[in-house]
Amino acid sequence: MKPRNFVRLEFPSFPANVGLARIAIATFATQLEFTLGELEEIRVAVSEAVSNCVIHAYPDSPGQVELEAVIEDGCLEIGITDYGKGIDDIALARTPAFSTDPERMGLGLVFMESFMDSLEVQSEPGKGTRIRMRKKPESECDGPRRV
Amino acid sequence: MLEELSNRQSDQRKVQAHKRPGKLGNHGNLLEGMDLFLPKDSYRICGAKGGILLLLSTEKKGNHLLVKIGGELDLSTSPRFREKVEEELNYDPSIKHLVLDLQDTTFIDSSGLGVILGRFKRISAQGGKLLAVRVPSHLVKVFELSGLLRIMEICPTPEDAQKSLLGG
Repeated sequence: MKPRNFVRLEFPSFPANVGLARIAIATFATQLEFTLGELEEIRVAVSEAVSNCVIHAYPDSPGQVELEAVIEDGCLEIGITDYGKGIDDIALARTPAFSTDPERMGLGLVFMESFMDSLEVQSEPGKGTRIRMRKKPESECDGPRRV
Repeated sequence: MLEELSNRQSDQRKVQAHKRPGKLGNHGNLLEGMDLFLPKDSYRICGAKGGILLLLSTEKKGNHLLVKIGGELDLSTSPRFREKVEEELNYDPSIKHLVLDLQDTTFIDSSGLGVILGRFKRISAQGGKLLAVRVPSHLVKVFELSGLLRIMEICPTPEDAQKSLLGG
């Protein structure tokens, strides 16, 4: 069994850091046998999660974002934590096309859910949000991953 | 950040600082003197803050605006796309349709899709259409999932888009 590997990044919620986050995690993910298509999906999922921190968690002034990724037992796990506004209604936020801004599609959580094998959202209004996503290369799966 | 590429003939170009004062102040010279390997058509670098490049070029063809998008369209760069296209639409009211050339687009997320949707809302209010050409395979899934394909026609080439707009 390969040893556990991990990476941890902390950065302010600047839009310019969204690209840094997705490139860092996609590069880390190449240690597993992900296809180019799967790496693209990981890039989109991370981009959505960090963009949500910038737009929704800290709408008024930049705050701290913590990004962690772990490779263990052939699986990639990504955690994104902020200490911002939090989500009032997680179920509503996961609804496709839920957005209060006409220039936004409200698809952030939908993309994360679609592109990763699993997505967990923990949030408390006024305290922040933690997103946890997992993905395993299709080539290492015995059977269908999704139910 | 606004820098202009002066040499249209060569693939390898030196970035020159734009003569107009850049909106980003001291970051305006960040790319000056760097070698960039770009497609043969002329591009304008519309956003490189944070290391993510968005390369845009616009060209009016008949009653549509062809917008070539190179690089990554995300939260950081999508405002540049919105500003550039709005500027062109405001400048020339005869532009009815919008055609996006995505051949050199390496990444789009929902922030990028959002600004595309915003421009669709504007042109469709005037009876215009939104088309995309030369869409790379890695972008197809985000377009499918977003539902944007219900309002955006995909054509193989810019010439096909032009024929489609002419009803051919």
